[in-house]
Amino acid sequence: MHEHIDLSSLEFWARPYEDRERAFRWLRDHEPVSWHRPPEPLAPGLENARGFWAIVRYEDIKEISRNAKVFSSAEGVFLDDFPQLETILSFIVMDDPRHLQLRNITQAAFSPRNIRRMEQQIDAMATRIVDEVAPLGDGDLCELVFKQLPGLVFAEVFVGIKDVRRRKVLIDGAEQLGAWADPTYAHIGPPLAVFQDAAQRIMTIAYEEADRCRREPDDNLMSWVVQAQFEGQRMTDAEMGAFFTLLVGASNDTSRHAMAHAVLNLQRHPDQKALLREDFDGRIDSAVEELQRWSPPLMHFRRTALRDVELHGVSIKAGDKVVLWYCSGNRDERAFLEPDRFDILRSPNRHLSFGNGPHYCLGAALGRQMIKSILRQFTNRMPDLEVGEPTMLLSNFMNGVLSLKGSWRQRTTSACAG
Amino acid sequence: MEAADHVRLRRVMPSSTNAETTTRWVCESCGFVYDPERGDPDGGIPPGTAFEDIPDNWSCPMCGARKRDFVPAI
Repeated sequence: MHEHIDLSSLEFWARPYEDRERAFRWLRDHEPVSWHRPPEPLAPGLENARGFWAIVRYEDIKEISRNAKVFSSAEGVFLDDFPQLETILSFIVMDDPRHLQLRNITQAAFSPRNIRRMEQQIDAMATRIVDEVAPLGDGDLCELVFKQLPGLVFAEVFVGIKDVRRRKVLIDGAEQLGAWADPTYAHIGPPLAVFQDAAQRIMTIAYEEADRCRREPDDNLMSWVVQAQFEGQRMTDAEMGAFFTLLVGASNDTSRHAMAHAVLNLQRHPDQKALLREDFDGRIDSAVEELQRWSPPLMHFRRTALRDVELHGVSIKAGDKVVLWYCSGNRDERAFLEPDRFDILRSPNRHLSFGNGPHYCLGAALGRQMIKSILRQFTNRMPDLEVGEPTMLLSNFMNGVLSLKGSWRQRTTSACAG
Repeated sequence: MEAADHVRLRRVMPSSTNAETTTRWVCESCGFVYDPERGDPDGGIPPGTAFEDIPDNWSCPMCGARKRDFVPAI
């Protein structure tokens, strides 16, 4: 039995990633479906009433993700009970048909085709950021780079916000949204108040920008969203506000952590870093996939069974929480050859870091592009970059890097930027 | 998982039209389901286009995987 593995304890999530992976491997081999007590709350005042099933094998995660008729997202998507948070999670916490309608309104803007058209624009933003950072010689890359690029892309490209102060409100709001349980924000109030405060400020900007885009439509996502229809359906104002908040949180937070992990993992695997440098353009696509597999920014999403189901001889009852551990599926020996080997040339590499099925990450292509753009800058302009040990977020959901200090030889020109 | 509850996507059985036109295909990478009835208008594929008739350089509208990464829905 799995009693020695307690996914509900905060102590488990405070352990290093590779230690936790050893526990997941045991579960994959011995108890692919295991029951766990209600998770310990992340902060005082947050209570969890219900336990959950842990799904840890690749194929099971994939199949459950694809079957939204049996495994619903509408009852919540976190291991923890956060009904207050989920009210602003837009179509992540919906099932079809409304999920599909809302998603399809925005799908084209985030499609790999559209993101390819934005490649030069995102590269230029990464160049601008590194222009300011390269002369410094050292600093916290999370603060200086990884937090800045997603914020800039989202605010400028997707919403069309030119005003620097408003852009800062969005970037800061996104950070607060992701770190709502962090003591840094305790002065605002208890964790849920911290989250709601950030959501409120972001929604205020959303409504104002929506008004502006209705009056003066431009070539940006917000103008698209306020006008777009799918099968005769538009977003309501409340849905639009929630969607906007979701995008701010999702696009900023997950991307910044993914970029931090990318830099860290390349440093931890110097042979792979050298391999990438040898042929950056030829290897960056597969490298990004392996970086995602190795350190998924989100470690789980949850579903709720809508009817009784049996899986590996275990009876899952209607109403039970079913938690899909992507971090475990990505290391499943049944799906990946030598899963514990970090290999930037791995192919195929159908990892689960962006989920699977109807809720596959809408921003996957954008996330991939931002990682590529920032790694290109670092490879070309800060090749001697060295980072220290990261400060990690304590979370069972976000594989978050709070701080990653680095040093590099000071440079003042972007002339060599590729 | 019991057979009746098995969560694999089911093949859409052809009715009076030919199987190629109505068969849905699933992207192995992300799970996107290509439905010939809908096509992929944003990708230049009109509704009613059988998967087999899509050009080889077409890519998954959700994750960007190649056409050869799709398998028939079962």
